[in-house]
This record gives sequence, structure tokens and C-alpha cells, in this order.
Amino acid sequence: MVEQRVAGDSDQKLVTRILKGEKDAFEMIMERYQRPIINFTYRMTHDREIALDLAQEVFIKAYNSLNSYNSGYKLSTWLYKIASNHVIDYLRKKEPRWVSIDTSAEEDGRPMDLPAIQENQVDSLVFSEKLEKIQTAIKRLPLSYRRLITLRHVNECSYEEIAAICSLPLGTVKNRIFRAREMLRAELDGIL
Amino acid sequence: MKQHPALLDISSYIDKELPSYRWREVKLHLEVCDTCRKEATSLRRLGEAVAEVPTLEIPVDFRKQVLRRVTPYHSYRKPALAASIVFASLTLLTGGTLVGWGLSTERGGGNDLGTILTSSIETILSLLRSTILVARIGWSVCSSLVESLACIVTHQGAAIPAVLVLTAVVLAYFLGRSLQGYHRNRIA
Ligand SMILES: [Zn+2]
Repeated sequence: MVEQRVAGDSDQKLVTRILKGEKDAFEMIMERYQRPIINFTYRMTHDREIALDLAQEVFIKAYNSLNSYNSGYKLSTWLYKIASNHVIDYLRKKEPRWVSIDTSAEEDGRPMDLPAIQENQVDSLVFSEKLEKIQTAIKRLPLSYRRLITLRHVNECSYEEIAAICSLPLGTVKNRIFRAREMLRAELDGIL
Repeated sequence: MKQHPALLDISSYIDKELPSYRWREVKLHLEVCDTCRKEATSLRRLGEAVAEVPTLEIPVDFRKQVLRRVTPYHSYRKPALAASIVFASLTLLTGGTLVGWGLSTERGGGNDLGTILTSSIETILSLLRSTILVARIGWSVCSSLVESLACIVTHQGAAIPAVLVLTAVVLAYFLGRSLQGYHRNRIA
């Protein structure tokens, strides 16, 4: 009975309940958003363990800053924003040469000159050759582009949501998504 | 529209992110232009391919692990407040009754514990009423004192029991004094 009530509660109602001390109401929020958040962290990092760790940290961060959540935003947008910043921070520390969000090199629209992906970097899951090539091409995208293309195609966010998540002007989102597609098409020529 | 739309517009078109009038223009163009239609189809395929990359299996205890690492909001407040109220009430009741009983016995009044308890409760109620009245008048003065206390006790929750215990001690003192007078009158 309680479960049914919880399942029916809106995000806002759940947030209110959590702030009143009902910690367990957060489980319902996680149930709603764990899949898209994990999809996002996984597509950004391409590493199962890291993706799961980052997703957990995203939810912990979200929980701890729920009292500053502005209900004017959709909860999903707010969560993606936390996830996006957290993953970028992580990758910035781990792969500094990949991450120069607004450099002219990126604005040229050329994929970064990356070394070939090492055997141990590829997730242990067995992908088909095509999927692996797509995965590699996404990974070779500059980080800011990878983030946008992931939010667009994996998380199905609108340009407006992406702009809010990444704190970018709408025009920049539109341009970068276009450029990211051009880069991917160049990388995947003949595969699609 | 005779001119080919910009590639950027075709990209936005497949995302349904063009203003509606522009979206219709591009749509009509694609119906008649092979080159642009191929471009749109290629971009659509690309989007599908990106979305196709396999998803991770989520561990069954994923959510439990997160919940174990967070603490409830304001959980310390309710029990602390309830405990303070119970503690203050018990202090008042026990203190007042014992003081009253002690005084009564000392003066050879011979009142039984039940009578003393009843008078204690009566006194507490009248004291509470006057306290509320005094509190209202003196609130502006007291609030600054409470704020200072809260500053000293940096943990916000700890200020509540501190203030209540202080109140309880003061009330117990007045209760004792009042019972002393009450029994004095009765004896007289
Ligand atoms: Zn055309």
C-alpha cells in the first residue's frame, strides 16, 4: 500500500518527503532515473565499474544538495546537470588532454588526435564489430561534443534541456550537435 | 523552397528543433530533393546507431548502496525536541512534587502524595499560562538571548534541549516557591 503511494508520487512530492526526513523516498527517485543516469555515465566513460561508481556519486551529490533544488527545473534536467558536471570533472582529472571544452581545436570541429583504444580500455562486454566502432568513434569525440551527442541520442534530451544542463546558449548546442554528427560520420564512413 | 537548406538546418530538422514554419519548409524540400533526403536519412541512421550502443546491467543493490551512504534530512530534530519536552515536563513534575512534599512534611502538614501531585499539576498549568504571557512580552529580548545561545552551541539541534532544560530549571524553582506559599496558606 505504502509502495503504491510512493510509486504514484510526483518528483516534487518525493523531494518534499525526503527533505522532511524520509530518506527512503529517494529510492523511488533513483528507480526513476538510475537507468538514464547510468546510461549517460557509461557512454561518457565506456567503463562499467567507473560508470556505476560515478552514477552512485551523482545520486549521493543530488541527495545532499536536494535542499537547494529549484522546483522550477525538471528534476531530470537537474540530475543530468549534476551527472554531466561530475563526469566532466572526473574525465578532466583522468584524461586532461581530452578535455579542453572551449578550445579552438574543438571549434574547428576536428576530432582530437587520440591514440588507438587499448585492449584493456574496451569494456569486457562483447560488442559486435559495428557497435565497437561506433563506441570508439564516440569516445574519440572531444568531450564537450561527446556530452552533447550522448544527451541528445542516449538520453533523448531536447536542445533546450541540453542548453540548461550544460549551461550553454541554444545556438551553441545546435552547432555542436551538428559538428559532432559530422565528426562521427567522418569516423564511421562506410559503416552506417 | 528551391535552395537546399543548410546542413545545420537538416540536423536540427531531424531533431524536430526548428521553428514550425521552417520545419515545414525543410520537410517540403526533402520530399522533392534526393540529395537532402539522403543527408537527413544518413543523420537519422547515425542517431539510431549512437543510441544503439549496449546498456549496462544495473546491480540489484545499486540503490541500497546509495541509501547506505546518505543520512536523513533533519532526522536529529524530532527526537531531540520530543526528548527535551518529555525531560522538561518530568523535571517540572518530579521536582515540583518533591519540593512541595518535602516542604509539607517538614511543616507537619501531612498532605498525601496524591494531593501534592494534583496541586503540582494545577500550579504547572497556571505557571505555563503566565509563562506564555511573559514570554510574549519579553520575546524580543529573549530572542536575542536564544540567538546568542544558538551561536555558542554551533550544532543547531543542541540549542533546543539547552534552552528547554534552562526553562525547566527556572520553572521548577518557581514551582517550588509557589508550592511553599500554597502550603503555607493551607497550614495557616
Ligand atoms: Zn536539397
